[in-house]
Amino acid sequence: MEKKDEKGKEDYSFEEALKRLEEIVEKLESGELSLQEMVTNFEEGMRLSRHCKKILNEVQGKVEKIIDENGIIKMEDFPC
Amino acid sequence: MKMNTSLERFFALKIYSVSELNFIIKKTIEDEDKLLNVIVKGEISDCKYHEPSGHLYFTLKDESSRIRCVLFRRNNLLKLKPETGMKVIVQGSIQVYQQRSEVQLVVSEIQPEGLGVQYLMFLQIKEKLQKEGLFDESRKKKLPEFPNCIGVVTSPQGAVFHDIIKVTKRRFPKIDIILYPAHVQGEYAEDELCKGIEVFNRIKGIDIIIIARGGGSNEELLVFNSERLARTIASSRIPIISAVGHETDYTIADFVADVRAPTPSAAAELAVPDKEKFMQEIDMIEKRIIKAWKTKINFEMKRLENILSCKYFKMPSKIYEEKIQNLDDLYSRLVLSAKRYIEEKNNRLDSKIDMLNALSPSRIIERGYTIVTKNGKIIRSVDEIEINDFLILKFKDGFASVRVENTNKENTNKEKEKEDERERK
Repeated sequence: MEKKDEKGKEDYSFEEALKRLEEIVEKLESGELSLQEMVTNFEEGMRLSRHCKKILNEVQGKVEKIIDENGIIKMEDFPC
Repeated sequence: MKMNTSLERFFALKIYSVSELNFIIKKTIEDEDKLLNVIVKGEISDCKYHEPSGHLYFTLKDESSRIRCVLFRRNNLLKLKPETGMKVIVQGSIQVYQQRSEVQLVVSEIQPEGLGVQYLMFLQIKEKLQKEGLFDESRKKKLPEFPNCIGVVTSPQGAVFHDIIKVTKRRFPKIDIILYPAHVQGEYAEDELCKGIEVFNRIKGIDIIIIARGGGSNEELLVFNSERLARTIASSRIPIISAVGHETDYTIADFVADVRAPTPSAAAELAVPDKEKFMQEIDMIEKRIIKAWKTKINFEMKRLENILSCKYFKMPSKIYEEKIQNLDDLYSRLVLSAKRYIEEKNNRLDSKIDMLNALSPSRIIERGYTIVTKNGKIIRSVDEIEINDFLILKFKDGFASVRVENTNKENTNKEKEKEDERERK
């Protein structure tokens, strides 16, 4: 379970990453973790926060226009 | 028939049957160019629906005149439900109902005249859809918090689409935008707007649809009051934001949409989360993580300090100082008891030696006794010596050789008593 999470970390969507980040900070603040668990969660938290910021700073998304030729849908870039 | 023929011949006049006359009337009127495609303005009265067919019969009138009208269902594109009292403009052609030679206007287009009727129509559709529950809050979909792609149905011309792009790129540049170009007024508008929504529902990955139009006159916004568009919006599985006209304009589309935005820019603001807000949120979380971490470290450090501040860590000698003392104590006790033991043994030895000394022959000689030997043997009894025996006398300070001149045996007391007893017997 833990391993699986580890593997998919960089594939987290922004939403998932933010949700996980909130879970982690709550765990860290609970004061119930051992020092070793603190280290693991701290590292994961910092990694996720970098990941989120990366997504936020990502370059422009696409702007496209649909061409509907009697129900046949094509896309082309929309100049803007 | 025969009669007719003869009469015609006699009067040289044509005599029509009613049917023939009616046919001529019909043909004459309907062929008249002026009566093809006329546009007439008037007020509706005697409005009757023919339920099974869906055709509508009414009278159009002004202050002094009236004409019968029919609106076939296939022509009723606006879904306007004409009612008595409505002022309308209709377009159509004159037809004659031959059997009775009744003239009627076959309406191909009917348009409300002026705002009043438009508003009435708006209210009609609104009331109808409201009754069906299409505006119910319970059926409105929530906008996703993190859309990846926004579909926009609007005109590619004008500021609307550019405003939406601008706001989106400012708030969350990562989000994709796809435009479905549609007329937002005129005869194609309804069809294209509906198709746009349908297409976005068909293709993958659209998270929110914005249906938008800039400001315009009531006539220009008319399509957004269309019942078909309203039903298309209602049946969308993707949440729809409507942004039609200015803030004060309300259309049916606004009521049925999941979210109504006052302007296209506002629609984008509603659809697109603010990057800065998330940046701040993530910064906050980061701070909280670091704070929690520091708290933990401080806590553990304190614990460690507490452990290290215990006396044995502070002064490790304490651990063996006590032991050394203990050892010293034991050592002295050992030495002491050993001493005592030896002393005691010494004392006992001394007394034994004293005792021994007291018994030694030399001590006896010192007290004035003499040891008598004959040929090296100690003499204990007078019986062992005879006259002229040479004896050696040992004194405390030397020897003397002597010769026995006489012996005299002395009776001991016991022997005396025995002798006495014998004598008495």
